[in-house]
Amino acid sequence: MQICLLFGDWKKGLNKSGVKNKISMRRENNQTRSTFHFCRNNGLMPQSIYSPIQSFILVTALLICAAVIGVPDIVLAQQTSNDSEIEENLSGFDEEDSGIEEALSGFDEEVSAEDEKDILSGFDEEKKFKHTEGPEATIEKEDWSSFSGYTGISLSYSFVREPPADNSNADWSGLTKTQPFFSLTWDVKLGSNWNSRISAKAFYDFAYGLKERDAFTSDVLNELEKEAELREVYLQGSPFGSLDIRLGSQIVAWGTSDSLRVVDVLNPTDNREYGMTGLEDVRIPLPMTRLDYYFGDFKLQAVAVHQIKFNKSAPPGSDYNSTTTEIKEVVPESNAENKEYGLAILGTFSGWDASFHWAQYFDDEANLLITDMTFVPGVGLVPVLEYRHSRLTMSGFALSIPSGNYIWKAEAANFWGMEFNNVREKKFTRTDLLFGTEYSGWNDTSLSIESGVQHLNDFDHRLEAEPDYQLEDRIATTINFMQDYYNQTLHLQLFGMMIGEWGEDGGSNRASLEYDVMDAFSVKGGVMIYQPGDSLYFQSLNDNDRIFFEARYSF
Amino acid sequence: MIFIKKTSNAINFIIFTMLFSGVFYPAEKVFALSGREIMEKVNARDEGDRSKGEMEMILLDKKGKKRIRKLKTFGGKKGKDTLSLMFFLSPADVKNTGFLTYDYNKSGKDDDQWLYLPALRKTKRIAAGDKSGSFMGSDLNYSDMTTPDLDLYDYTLMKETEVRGKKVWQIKAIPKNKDEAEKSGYSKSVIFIRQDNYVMIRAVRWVHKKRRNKYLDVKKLEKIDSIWVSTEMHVTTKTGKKTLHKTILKQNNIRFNQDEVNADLFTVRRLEKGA
Repeated sequence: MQICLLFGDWKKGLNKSGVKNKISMRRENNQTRSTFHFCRNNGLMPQSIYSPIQSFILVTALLICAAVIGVPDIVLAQQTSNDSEIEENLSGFDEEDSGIEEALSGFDEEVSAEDEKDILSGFDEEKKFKHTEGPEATIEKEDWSSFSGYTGISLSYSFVREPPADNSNADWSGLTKTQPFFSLTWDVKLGSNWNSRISAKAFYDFAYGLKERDAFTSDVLNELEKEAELREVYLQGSPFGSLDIRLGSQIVAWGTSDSLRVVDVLNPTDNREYGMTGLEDVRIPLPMTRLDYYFGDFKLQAVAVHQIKFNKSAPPGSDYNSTTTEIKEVVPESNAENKEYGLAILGTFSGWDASFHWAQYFDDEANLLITDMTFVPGVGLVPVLEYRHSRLTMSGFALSIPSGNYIWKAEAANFWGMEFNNVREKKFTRTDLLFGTEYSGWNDTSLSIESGVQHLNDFDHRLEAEPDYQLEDRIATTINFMQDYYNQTLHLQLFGMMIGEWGEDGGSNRASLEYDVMDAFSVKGGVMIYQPGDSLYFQSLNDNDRIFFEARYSF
Repeated sequence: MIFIKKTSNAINFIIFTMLFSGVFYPAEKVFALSGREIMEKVNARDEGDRSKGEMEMILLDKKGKKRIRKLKTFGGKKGKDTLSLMFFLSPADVKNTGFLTYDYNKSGKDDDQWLYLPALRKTKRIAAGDKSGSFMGSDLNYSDMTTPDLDLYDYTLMKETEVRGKKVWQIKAIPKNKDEAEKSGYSKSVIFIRQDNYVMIRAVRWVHKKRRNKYLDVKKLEKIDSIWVSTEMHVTTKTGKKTLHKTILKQNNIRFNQDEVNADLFTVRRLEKGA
């Protein structure tokens, strides 16, 4: 028995049913977004040595350590007597001028006036300061057309899985990704009020060719070995005054949360590698018509989605989906009747921001429906399953309030129209609540915590049984710590997530370190650890722990 | 990078911190002024309005590694409040990231700041309380970019001297409490104000709780549209005599009183449209 959980959307599960959730963690200019699924197993399942709560505590401890490591000067200043004297001199707010003259001599100066000699006598130090002045950089002229993008290679290494004994089985051990990637964006300005964008991304993963390629399923090879797709393709402009229009394939991101989705429902997401997809790629653009009308401190936004598309899921037989049976997914036709709509009013005020959202759409995650029973000799009656997507109506709000070094966030939404297999006589509603805060009071450091709950209203305990595997309440908590070093050339990120009130349903932890080798080139390495908890889904990920590396050149 | 979410007041940065550009005050009037009175004159200078320009930051570490940040900047006034909008032009991975700041004149009121992240396609509200963090990885921090609240500091006129042949006042500024030192990131500053135009031409800052000093040195000062503008400043972080990091800050194509810089510019709508 398993109960599938999700936070954000109902999720299509790994085995018979399941859920996935998108959690984003943002770095300010190079962000990653974790995608996660979580299911719960009601039966007795072996526990990992590290339970989710232990893991969460471990991550928290790591964060604290990192915070301490990140401010070594403070520690040192308090520990050495020499520094104590400095501290006394520099922070005692006394009127003594001791040390001032010495400090004033540090200017790098060519002036030779007699009365400045004492102050400006530190020039010999400049000789030790090496730098190579290239041609004087200038701001490029604005062009009507510009290309930008990035390229690089992404590697991952699974250090838990063992190679299969038989070559006929897919090998998900060791090197699981050797993926060069390339992304190109073409922006064109069409006069003063209009512009267009065309962007595309492609990758090829050599990891499959380096192993016994034929052992991988065709689904896996089709979906994970290579990809080339157009992403954002749109025309946007201001036909008059306060109205903006954008037509074409695009992304509309709602809400204030960084890691958990409540009102952000319009674009599906790429969930093929749980927690490993980069932020730039995690949302899937959809063909939309979007109108933004501005008045005063408000923006009124109307969106019509012209194509029905759902989340990208790990194909059966992959390391993130160990099932081998493919279940038919019913995708509604992209016609006028099935069009998806969104409305929002967003206000930006002095000291706070607020927005209200409404959407009518198909749930990006599916629920399993038993459509028939078939007799299998030797087995008996077996259910015929289909993935169905409920037509939902969402109404909610988001709030963001800064206060000193904190940003306080809240989101809430109600969802109508949830359909399940075991209770077909009615549709259910669900209420989601999220609270979070982000603290930025430490130098070059950010710490954010978000926690949310999904409550299935008028819960019927029949939903706990297969194939629905629903819970009345689902809780998810995330913690994200980021710190920069060496004038923001080295970036540490620690991200922890636990599912369930105390992490009993699973979680994941990710640590990464990124170094800017130069402006356009960075390298990143890290480790992803999955925590199984009670969730069958997270238990299935338990062997997916991996280290990863990425080198990226932006242009 | 974290610097993106903590950006502040570009135009203050351009206009105030670097240059303290201002109107001309006759020298004979100022000899009788105290440190506080001089700083009041500095704060009261004409900073210009409806400005547009480009900023370039060259970051140099002690090994000679060079990084360059380029931005497009806009600045304006709304009553006594200062508005600014800036967009990254490079490096490529943060291109079109934008910051919008409302710097309120009212004492004790936090700035309003929004950040547009192209990768997220989303505008985020940013906390503006702490100003001690590095600005874009440079040797400046966010307090360097905003107008200081004079009530929070004790200013002492140390002496009159000369910098590059120009008479200056040498003024010591000390935060009145540790909280301000924590927020600004500096426990003490000595600043040099030119007597002929009230421009801060140099400053030495003591980094709070660290054995470091920052040297701000205006290398090029120009009068643009009757406003004094520092078009090149070097900021060096040292521990003792040893240089740790250096920033060369240049401003190009600064213009004031631009028609396109109006109230509609300093909005989230414009922020999301990019440079």
